[in-house]
Amino acid sequence: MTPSTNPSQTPGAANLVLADSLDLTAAAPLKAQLLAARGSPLSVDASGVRRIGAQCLQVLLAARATWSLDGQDLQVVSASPEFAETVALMGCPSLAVVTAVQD
Amino acid sequence: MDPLEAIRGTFFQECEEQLAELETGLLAMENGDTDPETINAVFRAVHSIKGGAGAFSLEALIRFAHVFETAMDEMRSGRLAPTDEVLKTLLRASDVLADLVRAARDGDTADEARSAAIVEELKALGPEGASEEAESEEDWGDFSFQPLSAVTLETPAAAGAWQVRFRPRADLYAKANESALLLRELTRLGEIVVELDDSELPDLESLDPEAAHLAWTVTVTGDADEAAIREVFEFVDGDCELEVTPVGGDADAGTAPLGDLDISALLAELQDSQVPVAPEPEPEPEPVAAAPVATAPARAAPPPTEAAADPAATHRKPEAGATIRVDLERVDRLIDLVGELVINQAMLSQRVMEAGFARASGVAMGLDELEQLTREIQDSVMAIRAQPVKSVFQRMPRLVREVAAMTGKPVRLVTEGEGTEVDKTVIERLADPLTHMIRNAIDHGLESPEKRAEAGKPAEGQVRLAAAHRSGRIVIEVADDGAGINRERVKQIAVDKGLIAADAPMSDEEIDNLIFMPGFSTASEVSDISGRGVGMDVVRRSIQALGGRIAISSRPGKGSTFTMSLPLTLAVLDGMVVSVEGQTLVAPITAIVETLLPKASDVHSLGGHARVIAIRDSYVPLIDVGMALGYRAEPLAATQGVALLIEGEGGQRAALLVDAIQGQRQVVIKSLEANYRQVPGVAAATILGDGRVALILDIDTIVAVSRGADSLRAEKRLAATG
Repeated sequence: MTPSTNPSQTPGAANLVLADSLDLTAAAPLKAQLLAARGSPLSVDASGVRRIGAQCLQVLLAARATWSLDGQDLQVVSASPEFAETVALMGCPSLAVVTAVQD
Repeated sequence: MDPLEAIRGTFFQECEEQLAELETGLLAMENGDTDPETINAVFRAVHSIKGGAGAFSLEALIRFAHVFETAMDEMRSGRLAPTDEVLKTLLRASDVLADLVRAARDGDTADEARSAAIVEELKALGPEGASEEAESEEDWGDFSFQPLSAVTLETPAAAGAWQVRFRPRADLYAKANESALLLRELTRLGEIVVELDDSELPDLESLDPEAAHLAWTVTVTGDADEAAIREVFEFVDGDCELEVTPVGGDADAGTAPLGDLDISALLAELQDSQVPVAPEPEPEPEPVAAAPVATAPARAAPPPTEAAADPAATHRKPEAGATIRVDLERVDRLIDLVGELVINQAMLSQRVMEAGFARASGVAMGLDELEQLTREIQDSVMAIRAQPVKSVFQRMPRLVREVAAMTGKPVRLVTEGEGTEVDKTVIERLADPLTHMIRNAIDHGLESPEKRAEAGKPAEGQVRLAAAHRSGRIVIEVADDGAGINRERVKQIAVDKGLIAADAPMSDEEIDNLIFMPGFSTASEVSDISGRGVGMDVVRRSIQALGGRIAISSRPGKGSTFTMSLPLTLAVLDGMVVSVEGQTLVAPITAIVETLLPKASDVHSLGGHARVIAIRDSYVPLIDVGMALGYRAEPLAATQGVALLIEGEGGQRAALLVDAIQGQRQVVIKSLEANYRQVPGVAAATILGDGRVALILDIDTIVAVSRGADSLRAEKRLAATG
């Protein structure tokens, strides 16, 4: 889960790979990781997520809002089916939708 | 495997862990631990089981856990004092809970009368028995005070829509519940449209990741009534704000006249009309995501694991994924491979030495590093398998309670050294022999309360179960403070059964050991409890199959102690490689205290081949290994060999005389029993660097040979007669 540059994402965006289990215990580490990546565009790779709980959703949403305030791009990319399904279930389908890369 | 089945499996695995936590907590409380955290841990364990059971609709389990949980909640809030009586009830309740879990797992039915009796006892614990009853007996009793439910029941608009406003508090998550799971539960009731309210979400910097900032408004369309919806939230009652209001076709009648309700109803309707979720997905992002919601019941896989998640893990705050579950087979395969690596590395070292490389050469130094690395890998792999014996010790208190109840003997079980770690295989295979020995200790070992009173002992008997590491092995003792072995009777039985000759001269120790003989069963006192056709010989065989030994010591009137000594791991051993008559043997280094070159003046003959050697202030037997194993007929002159001063498991010392010491190395144990058969005096075999097989000495058996009680021969004699 280390931020690294992934050339296949938005150019210049750092890449954060989410852990497979985003339960309650993952919320605090996730927040720390996101904060560490603040200040530049970020791709959040949800391809390996098997489950996600409300607390981690909360962190991701707060991060998205914060990035947006910063005028930066934060995108969740390659959402796993489980991730997409659960965030949709929790009323936040847009989180899992990969919008076309806009520059 | 069916994914749902796999999750079910995980749930039951986690149940076992929760049950263990539960019992540990209750036993700690029984011993006077009043720490609120202990009470909480017990509460959480029951709560998690209930939560998980809810996800699988295991009704009997849910009902019982609920009553149990209510009692624990009383205790948690200080309204119920943890007296001995209360704790006894709770312990019995934990037994019943365990039965229910297992019954649910295996598809059996548990003893309903028993669980009903305990339910009554648990209810009696609450100061307001009546209110608890209302809660547990009638599932919707809860909701009758809700003014809206009257509307629901009277309005035939059951097939309408419901609006559920749900705002969790942080406690909900702290108790290992999960909003996603609750929402998923709602999908079982009908089509749902979920609207997320994140208006209270702070920015990332100031967000407390474990607080609850999100709320949901869910519109449920279908046949469900209000009670069914509320039932979904039954377990989080009190940890969230919940409103359930009717909406939909009959909106005018159903919507409460409150402003904010109107708005949310309106919102829901708006959403209904704007985002037609399930029926006709549009090629837009929203439906893509919404469609799975409608089909969610089919793949409602993930939530149970979340619900049943280990509360301890939830309350610890460390990095995510602190533990993983791995198939034992994979670990075993890894261990096998590392074993091969060790042998291979030893062979390589030997080849390099033979090739004449200097010790200081780069190759030799590189090999040294490789050796260290191999060793670290090996230790780490072994550590994966090591587990505290607690997991098997924990099963014993229940057994003791049950056997005590059946025999009418009050028993106190004392356990020591639960934290002692040993290989998982060893632990797993310990459960059966330990169970049998503890049954025996209570049934045959302890006297009846009356007899104990006559003997001036306290009415409550004691069974002690202790584990400790000793000379690189784990030693487990099962001791009772009963009457001790009735040697006359044991001997008589053995004679009657033709196991020994009537006039066979036998030491006390030998008589005690008769109970391990195949075919020996104190038939005249076979009872329900221990007389299950499993004799102590089976116990001994299962211990031996683990590379262990079992010994008994008994004192009339004081009790008996069974001592089992087992290897910590079944895979490797630090050994001293020695030569005896041209054979290469390995002595476990853990048993060796020191090595010395005997001086003729220190060695004294005791007649025959028996010799002792003076080591500082004491004399210890000097045993010629070559003689003991039959490699030579005449003893080696003490001055021509090297003596290994060893200490056996019982603490007894002896000196083993060998021809020479070759060196010290770690060897991979290859079972002799599995590949050949058990050989007295030899514990196992190994493969050396040059590819040859070397035998690993069984120090204790060899020492036993040298002692007056020639147990090797005794064993052979017993085996021959048995």
